[in-house]
Amino acid sequence: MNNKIFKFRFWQILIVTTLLISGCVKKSPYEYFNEGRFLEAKEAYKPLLPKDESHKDYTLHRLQYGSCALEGGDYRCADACMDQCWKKMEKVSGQGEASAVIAMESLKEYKGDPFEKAMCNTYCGLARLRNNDPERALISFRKALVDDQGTRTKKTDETKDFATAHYFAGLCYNMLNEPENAKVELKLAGQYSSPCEFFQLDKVNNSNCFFMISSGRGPFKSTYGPGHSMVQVNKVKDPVAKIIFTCDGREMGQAALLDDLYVEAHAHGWGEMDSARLAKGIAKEIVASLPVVGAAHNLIQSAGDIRIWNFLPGNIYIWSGNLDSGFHTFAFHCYDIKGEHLPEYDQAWFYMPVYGDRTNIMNFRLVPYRQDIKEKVLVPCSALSINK
Amino acid sequence: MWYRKFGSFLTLYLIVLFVMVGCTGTVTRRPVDDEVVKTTDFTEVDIRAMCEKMARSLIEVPQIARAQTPPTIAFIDMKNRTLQDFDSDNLLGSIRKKLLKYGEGKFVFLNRNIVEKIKLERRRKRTGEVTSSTQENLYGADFFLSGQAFAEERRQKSTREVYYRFSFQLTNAENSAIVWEEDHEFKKAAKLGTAYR
Repeated sequence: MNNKIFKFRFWQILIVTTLLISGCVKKSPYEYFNEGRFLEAKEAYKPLLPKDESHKDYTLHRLQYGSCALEGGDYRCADACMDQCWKKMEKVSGQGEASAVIAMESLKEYKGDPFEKAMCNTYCGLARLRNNDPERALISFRKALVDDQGTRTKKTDETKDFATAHYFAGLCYNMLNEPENAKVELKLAGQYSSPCEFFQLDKVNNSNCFFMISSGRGPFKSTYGPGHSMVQVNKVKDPVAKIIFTCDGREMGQAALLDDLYVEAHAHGWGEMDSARLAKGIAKEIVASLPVVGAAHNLIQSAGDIRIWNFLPGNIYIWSGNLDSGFHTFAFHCYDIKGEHLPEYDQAWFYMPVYGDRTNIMNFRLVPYRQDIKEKVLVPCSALSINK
Repeated sequence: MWYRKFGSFLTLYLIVLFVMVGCTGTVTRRPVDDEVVKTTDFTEVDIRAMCEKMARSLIEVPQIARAQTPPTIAFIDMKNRTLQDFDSDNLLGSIRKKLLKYGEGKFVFLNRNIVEKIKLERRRKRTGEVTSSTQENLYGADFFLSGQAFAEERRQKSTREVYYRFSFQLTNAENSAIVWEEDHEFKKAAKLGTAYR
């Protein structure tokens, strides 16, 4: 009898302790982000930020942190992060260059690929547009287009195909009363995405709301080849192929796809460092196969740099139109390539403010099975708080 | 033997000391035209060269050089179409300073930034709220000085090239005729570090 009571108490304490510990164990910022808990991801990321600005991954961590802030609606924090990051990314040189050339490439200061720099400038520009500063926003979007030019590709079109920046640059030119420049940029946006009414100047003039909708996850890198010296960009599959926007239950039209960030990332071709790394990889393999000195192959570092901004979206869509001022319920309904409805990807935002006296710029991030929806009624999102 | 060991220790200590002293941060005062940080952005050196060129060109405009009374000039906002944020008021202020230096009283600049405060002060003087030594009319502008800063950047693989053009116009405030226009162009180029190519 005492044995039974002892066993019962033992399992009781064990279960309670396990529950308590599991409640105390915090999730990583990546887990929070995947669940759509962006502000919690931001708080979880804070302890991971390097305190020293000269740390080689300082910019990468600040970009990730800035992403959490942006998607969670903390625009002031996001603006400050992105602004600081693009200044560091734009410098022609960085710390650890010599070490990167001689030893491991990941020892150099992270500066990102052209598509990451372009997205950093795009987010900066969006924050400035929300602050009703189209002149400074235009600077950011033009810088994003310049960053796209840095893509190492032989195809000229791939150096100017960042439709998101073209679209918002056109929007800024229109707000600055330069319709001719606006037409040029909107035409380029349509040329490099999918021609539709959103890229007509008349549609822009007749709209008071402009939504940037992000879906899916950005590309990731992996290594292959001799000595893991070659780096390839991989796509994260996103079943969403069509997004329909409804306002207060009324269908307002389909969003237009602007950019697939995998395509932007993949366009960044072969460079001098890739050749150097491949040579080191081949040398490593040769040395490894030699007798006696084979162990010395560990001294040759040829692994490629797979650092990438993880929190970027996979696809970027745009929707524009005219909505009555006041509070509305916005919903995005997602469909796959066959036209089948994907209810687990649908998302709704409640009490969304539309101001009649200004251009309303909003940013929405779609996350499947958002955990915060199950726990709360109001969904915190990037468009809810005004950055004023 | 002990002195050999001591000598080796002392040599090592001095080497470490010199290296540490060499690695410490330093602060020095530098001339304004000295560019320590190299960048493709336009800097105060470029602004100073541009302002000097504009000022020398502007004082030779016939409407200003041959005017019976010094004409009044007001500044309008400068349009920024470059790829960097800059303070346009600061830029226009630099030009004004150079113009005043080279102009030798040939023109009068109007401070339109504080016109509302001036109007308030004039109202208070005329109502007797504050003392007033003189009462004059506000000056109207004979000319408007406006400008545009433009930049175009090209990138190809590891090379960056930035072209800048700063243009200024003097416009007659009565009939909108452009009586003077001048621009200042320059280019900057940079190459990415080896590890980023």
